[in-house]
Amino acid sequence: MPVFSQDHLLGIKHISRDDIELIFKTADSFKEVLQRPIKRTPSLTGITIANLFFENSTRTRISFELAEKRLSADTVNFSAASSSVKKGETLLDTVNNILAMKVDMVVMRHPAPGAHTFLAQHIDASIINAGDGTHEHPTQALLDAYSIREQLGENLEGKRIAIAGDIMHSRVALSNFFCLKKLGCEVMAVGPPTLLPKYLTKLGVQVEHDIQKALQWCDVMNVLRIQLERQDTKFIPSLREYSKYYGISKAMLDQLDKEIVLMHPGPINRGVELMSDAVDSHHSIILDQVQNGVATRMAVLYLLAERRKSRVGTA
Amino acid sequence: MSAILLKNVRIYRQGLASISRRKKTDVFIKNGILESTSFQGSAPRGCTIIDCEGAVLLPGFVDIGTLIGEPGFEHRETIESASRAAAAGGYVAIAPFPNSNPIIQYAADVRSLARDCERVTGILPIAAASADLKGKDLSDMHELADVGAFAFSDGIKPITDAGFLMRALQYAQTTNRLVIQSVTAQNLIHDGQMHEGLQSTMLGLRGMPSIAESMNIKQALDVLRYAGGRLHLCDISTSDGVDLIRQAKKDGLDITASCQAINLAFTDESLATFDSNYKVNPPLRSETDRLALAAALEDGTLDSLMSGHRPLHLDEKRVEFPYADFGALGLQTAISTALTFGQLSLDALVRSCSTAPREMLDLPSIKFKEGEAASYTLIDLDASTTLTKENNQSISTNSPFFGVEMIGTVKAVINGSRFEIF
Repeated sequence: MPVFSQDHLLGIKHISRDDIELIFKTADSFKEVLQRPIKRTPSLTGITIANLFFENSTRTRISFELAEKRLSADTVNFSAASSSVKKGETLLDTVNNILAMKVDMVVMRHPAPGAHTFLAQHIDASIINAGDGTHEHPTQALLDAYSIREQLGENLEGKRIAIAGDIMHSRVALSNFFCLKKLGCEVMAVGPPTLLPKYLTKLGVQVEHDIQKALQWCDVMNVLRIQLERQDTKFIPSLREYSKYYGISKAMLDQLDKEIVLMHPGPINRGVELMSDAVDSHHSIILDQVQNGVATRMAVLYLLAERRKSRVGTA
Repeated sequence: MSAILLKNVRIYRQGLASISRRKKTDVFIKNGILESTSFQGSAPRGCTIIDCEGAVLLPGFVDIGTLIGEPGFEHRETIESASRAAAAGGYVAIAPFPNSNPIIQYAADVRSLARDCERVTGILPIAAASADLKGKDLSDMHELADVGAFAFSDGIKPITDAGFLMRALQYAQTTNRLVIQSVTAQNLIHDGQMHEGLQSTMLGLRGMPSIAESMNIKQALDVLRYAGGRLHLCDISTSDGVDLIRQAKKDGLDITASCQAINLAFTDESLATFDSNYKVNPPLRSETDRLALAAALEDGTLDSLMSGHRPLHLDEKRVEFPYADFGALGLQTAISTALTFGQLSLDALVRSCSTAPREMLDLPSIKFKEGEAASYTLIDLDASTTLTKENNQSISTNSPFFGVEMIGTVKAVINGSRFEIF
């Protein structure tokens, strides 16, 4: 059986296409488990996982926690709001204190790009990146690609995927670019120039500022949230103007002479980047994404735990 | 009496194609004065004899813009440790920036700093250009120059207000001292973490665009054209920046400029693993930029090379990348970096590390003439050197050069009657 090539999941940049395919294959079997009356396997029995969230999160945290519980792992949760981080403790001290309680794996969300890479250089546990600032959010990209695969078939070679919105402040976008490019897709970034990093095209990503043109071009439109909380400078004049020129409605999707898949990593700003009728339309697979999130994260946890077993010799 | 006899040494002479063809000789230095460059006979009693086989005697190196920690940041570096590192790096003198706590901005600060060093490497204080380094009100430049400030600068906190830069350049003319301005002020995009490019995009880190530097240089050059005075622009890191300096010199503008040694060695690719030891300011840029800096040092567009010594405590570096402070050690590695990565010729090395900084600070030039005050660096240009935890003289360890084998080994520094042999 093929094995995962990395000790951690720090980002999609670090994993191979084979790794991605392996995650998908593993997720297929876990998805099947999730359809059973008792949605649980003993795969991670005896493994302790710490969920460290230094930034707010609802769906990612719940998704990971469910994935861990479905795999029978022991979990412990930590959030920055109620921690000694507020008292000035360093990340290394915080994590080492938790690891001293014999934790095997760490799922972490952190506002600083590279926080996971930094941690991986200093601690022994397997680390899963649940979002590091404006860098990567690998499990989101994996569940996105997995969901696209369900719609368009296993081979995504040549499929056209557009990602619209605040690419500049998005970790989801960067992980998606890496993931989709590795799977052979054509990728486009859509948004006003102020929200697109200048060197995007060097990643092999097309750039478009017209949402209509992008919709005509793509097979899948993945819409990102406008992240006002990560903008210390105003990059767009107003949500109203953004909504007028970049917001997607059901009518816009219906008038295309083709099928189109609509995605969003959540949480949605209804009436800003997506109109309610589009969210609730048959084009949307937004809730499938959420469901696939659990299966994909189970796959990542399982594969890293297997890898860890072979590395440290024990569970 | 202090006396040194340098046996079998080659003395540097500008324009010599190959130093190895230079005849070996014995040099005698007594009480800090060069007595003879062709010493015959046996060494006087009590004289220190240095066997210089393979080494070349160069005009003593001077570093401008060093950060030495003390006062205020002794957990990073002290005058004592900075002097040790400077000597080990081949420097006979360092001119530290005033960014300490308290800031070097009153006569008493300058006097105290100039007096504090007992070691071979001399300290040449640079005083603040603006009160409290706020870039608003002039420091007492006249008095500061009188008590021994060698130049004025706000150091690593560059002046951003063009009006203030103009007044500083104008007022400093009464002292004939140099105003040193870093071109690293962040504009366009704030809170940048690294060079803006493909790497920063892939790392999700906010970039520092090259154009920000160009804008700072253009503004400073315009102000200099208007105000006159003596301006040195430091921390040039881009090929565009080099072009601007080259053109300004061609236009006849009296300007000097420099870059930091680390920018000759690495590019933004080095940040791929978020190693904060590569987080420096100016940031490590592209390969094109790196090569342009080396070429500009070679052809004299960039007059001098700064060690860019920025000691930081482990706690200030061993954190998440965006939270780490900017800076790396430089004193002990700058010269070998210039030789190894910058591939500087000996002439360019001597000009950029000795002749030019001496001119900028109005120090006497070194001609190896009998009767001159000794200020020499003895180097084996071919011997390899590696910074290790053991030979690191700094209190801090924030350097990406640990374990990197380079060429150019400092054998001794001689500063008047003080000397240190390695």
